[in-house]
This record gives sequence, structure tokens and C-alpha cells, in this order.
Amino acid sequence: MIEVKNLKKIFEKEKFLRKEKITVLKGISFKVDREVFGFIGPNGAGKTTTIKIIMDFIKPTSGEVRVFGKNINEVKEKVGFLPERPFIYSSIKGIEYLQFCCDVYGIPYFERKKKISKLLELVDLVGAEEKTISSYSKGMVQRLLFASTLINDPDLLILDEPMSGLDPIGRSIIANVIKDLKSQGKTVFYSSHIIQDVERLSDRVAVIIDGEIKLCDSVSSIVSKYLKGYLITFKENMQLKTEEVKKDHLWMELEKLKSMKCEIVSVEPLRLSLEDIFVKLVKGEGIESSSNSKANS
Amino acid sequence: MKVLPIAKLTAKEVLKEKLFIGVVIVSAIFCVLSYYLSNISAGNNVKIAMDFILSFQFFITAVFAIFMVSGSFHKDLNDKVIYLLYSKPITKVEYLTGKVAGFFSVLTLLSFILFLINTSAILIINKISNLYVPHIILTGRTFIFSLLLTFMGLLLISVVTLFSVSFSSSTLAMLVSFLVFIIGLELSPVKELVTASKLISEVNKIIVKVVTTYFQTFLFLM
Ligand SMILES: Nc1ncnc2c1ncn2[C@@H]1O[C@H](COP(=O)(O)OP(=O)(O)O)[C@@H](O)[C@H]1O
Ligand SMILES: [Mg+2]
Repeated sequence: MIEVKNLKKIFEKEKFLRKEKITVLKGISFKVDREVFGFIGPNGAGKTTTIKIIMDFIKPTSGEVRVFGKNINEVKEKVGFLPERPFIYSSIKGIEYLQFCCDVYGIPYFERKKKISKLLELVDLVGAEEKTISSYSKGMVQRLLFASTLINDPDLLILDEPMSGLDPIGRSIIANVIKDLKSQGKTVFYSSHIIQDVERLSDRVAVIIDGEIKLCDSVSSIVSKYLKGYLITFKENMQLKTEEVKKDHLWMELEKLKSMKCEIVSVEPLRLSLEDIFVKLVKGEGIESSSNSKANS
Repeated sequence: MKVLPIAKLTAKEVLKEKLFIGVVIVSAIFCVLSYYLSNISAGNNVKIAMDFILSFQFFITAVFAIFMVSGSFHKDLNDKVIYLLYSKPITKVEYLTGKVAGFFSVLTLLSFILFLINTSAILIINKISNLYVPHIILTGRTFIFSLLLTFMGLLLISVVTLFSVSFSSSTLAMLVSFLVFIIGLELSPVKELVTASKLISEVNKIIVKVVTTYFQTFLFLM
């Protein structure tokens, strides 16, 4: 769906007659198939810049982007986009913006009412559509614009930080819609710095730090790759004890405890969460060594 | 064609701003004021009152046009509404054309409302105290004035659009637009001086002539 090849971006800033060059993207490449793809990185890593280049708002210094194998401008009908920190004219009503979107995509009048009320229900804005946007909260504007990206039934959604600036309820609304889209076989490419959401939602993730992709893999394989073993808690002679075992020795250990007639309280996987891995990457620590040290401690 | 939706959105956005309603209300208030002004002044009362109100409306419309256009582009560019629009199948040409069409329809509506205000003022005054000049002539004058207002608006809108798109700062765009507007008003004596002078080269004379032709509407209106 999206193919990004060796993307570089250098911003030039005029500073007292001399030009200052800021390298924001250092040649990144990744591919998004029919899946939910999380693009994560700390603030200033270059997520928004990448998305702007994918949407052809700004030109890359070098590199290439293909969407559905074509230039994005040829396939915009099939793409929905939500910008970072969404804003729309505050003097109009919510419904008027949605009507505008229907106009742009040429959606026939008899379909509109049903479509709009379905979308409003989806993002929990029923009843707010007749109010002017100036009376909306930030989260409501974000949800309205999110709903408007779905109006043309896009095959690909590009969302820049769809969860930031939302309360937990708003976040779960958007997360549910993304899950829904996934089950419909749509592609969702979204950036975020809220890792818990990404871990729950995404099939694959790419971690971008300082304009470089540090990691690009499926969430399940990332997390299982860093599974180091299990922590078993059991009762022996009325005393709680814990024991760490290696991945392969779990069953052996459990059998042993069973024969000793111990009561097993819990078995926890000793793994790094995506967040742990992310934080370590950001700090520039190697994952392998640090995860070892955690398992041993 | 994506021009029409953008024009509609732009017009809706501008019409609901306080600026538009403010201009209409202030114009109506000035109509009443000018009636009192004509009562206290000596000489051709009606002409003074009309000159006063029309030139006031001329200026307020120009100011409104400049603020409307530069303000709207400022919002689009600074608050990134433009990304929202460009993410849809809308080209830059369609966007700009739609914007200008939207502004122009708002300005046409304003001219029409001003025409209605002026005409009803004339008819009311005619009822209260019989006018010296037949009111049909006065109404005709306000009608032509409204047409000119619309035309001046179109010129101003295109000029400010050009500046708003080419300058990064909206304040700068607004300032330059005001300057161009004032220059347009003051151009007539400059043209006469330039064409009469022997010291000025032919090339410069042609430039001045072209510029004055472009701004003729402003001169015509005064
Ligand atoms: N127009 C610009 N000119 C100069 N630097 C920019 C520009 N846009 C972004 N940057 C810089 O690029 C870096 C990445 O920004 P961005 O892509 O917005 O990060 P993210 O979205 O990951 O938080 C930041 O350090 C920012 O200062
Ligand atoms: Mg960003």
C-alpha cells in the first residue's frame, strides 16, 4: 500500500545570512501492506515530516514514495488523512464540514444523511453536529475530523497522532474504529508516541528515532523475541516463593513443583513490553544486553 | 469540479464571522448618521449626505475585503487547514479558484445588502421630507455604486489573494494590500505629473500608464 524508499529530508534555515542545514530524515525505508501499521518515535523524531512527504505536502530531498504503487496525487480518492493537531474553521457547524467533505467526494445527496449519522455515532458526536465548532472541545474537533476522513470509505488511512490530545474515552473510541477498519481489511498507517495503544492495535510497528528507523517488525515477533523466561510464584510450606526459569525449562519446573505438591500462584512471562524496548532504543542502549541484565537480576 | 464546495465553505466561514455582520451594522448606523449630518449642513443636503455615506461604504468595503481575504488565508496556512484540504482530491488551482469565488460571492452579497440599506434609507427619507432630487435618480446612483463596489472588490480580492499566497506573513500581505489600495487612489495626479514631465523616460511613463489603467476603477469611484 505504502512504499517508502530511502527518504531523506534536509531543511534549510536562513540564519544571519548563512544557511543552516537540519537533517530530519536520514534515509528511511519501510513498506506498509494491508495491516495496521504503527509509526512510533519520540517528539521531533521526524514522524510528521515523513507523513507530510507521503501526503506530498512537502518534497523530500531525495527518495521516493509510492502509494498503491502510484503517486499519491493519483489515488487521493482512496486515502483518508488526519493531520497532527487538527483544526477547522470555528465559525461553521460540524455538519457543514461533513457536508463539504461529501461535496468534495461527490457523494450523492440521498446517501448523505445515513452516512453522516452513522459516522457521528461511530465517534460519539450525535447531537453535536448542529453546534458551531467554536463550542467544541479539542477532542471533539479531533473526533469530528477523524470521522470526516472516513466519509469516502478509504482503503488507506494515514493518521498523524490520532490519539494525542484525547481523553481515555476518546482514545478508546478511535482505537475501536481502527480495530473495526482492520477487520474490514483496510490499511491504517498511524504515528503515535503513546506506546500502549500501539502495542494493542498494530500488526507491525516501525520505530523512528532521530530520523532513522531503528526497528521495523511485527509486534508479536518483537515482543516474543525479547521473551527471556518466566517467573513462577508458588506456595511451599505456607510460604510464598518465586523462581525464575528459562523459556524451555518451564514445563520441567512445573512438573517438579507438582510432584512436590506445591500450590502454583502465578506464572508471568519475563519480557520487555514494546514500551520498554522503545525507551531503551530512545536512550540508545542495546536491547539485547539490557534485556539479559533484567532477566538475571 | 471541486471549486464549488470550496467556494461554499469559504463563503459560509466568512459570513458567520463577526466581521461581516459588523460591517453591515456599521453601514446601517452611518446611514442614519448621514441623515443627521445632511440636516445640520448648509447647501445641497442630499448630495452631501450621499457623498458621505457612499465614500464611507467604499472604504469600509475595501477594508473588509482586505481583512476577509488575508484573514482567511492566514487561518488556512497557519492552522494547517490547507493540509486537510490538500489531503482530499483537490488541486492547488481548484483551491485558489474556489477561495476567490467564495470571497467574491460574499462581497457581492455585501454590495447587495448595502444597496438595500441605501435604497430603503432614500425611500424612508423621501417619505419623511420630500427630496429635492427625484428618488429614482438617487436609487440609480446607489445601484451603480453597488456594481462598482463589487468590481473593486474583485480587484482587491485578487490582489490580496496574490499577496497572501506569495508572502509568508499575513500582516505583510495586509500592509502591502493597503498600500496598493491607497496608491491606486492617489495615482491620478501622479499620472498627470509623469506624462507632462520631460525628465521622465518613456519606459517609466508606460509603466505608470499601465499601473493607472489597472487601478482606474479606484479613480473612477472617487
Ligand atoms: N519546516 C521545518 N523547518 C525546519 N525544521 C523543521 C521543519 N519541520 C520540522 N522540523 C524539524 O524536524 C524535526 C522533526 O519534526 P517532526 O517531523 O514534526 O517530528 P515528530 O512529528 O516526530 O514529533 C524537528 O526537530 C523539527 O524541529
Ligand atoms: Mg509530529
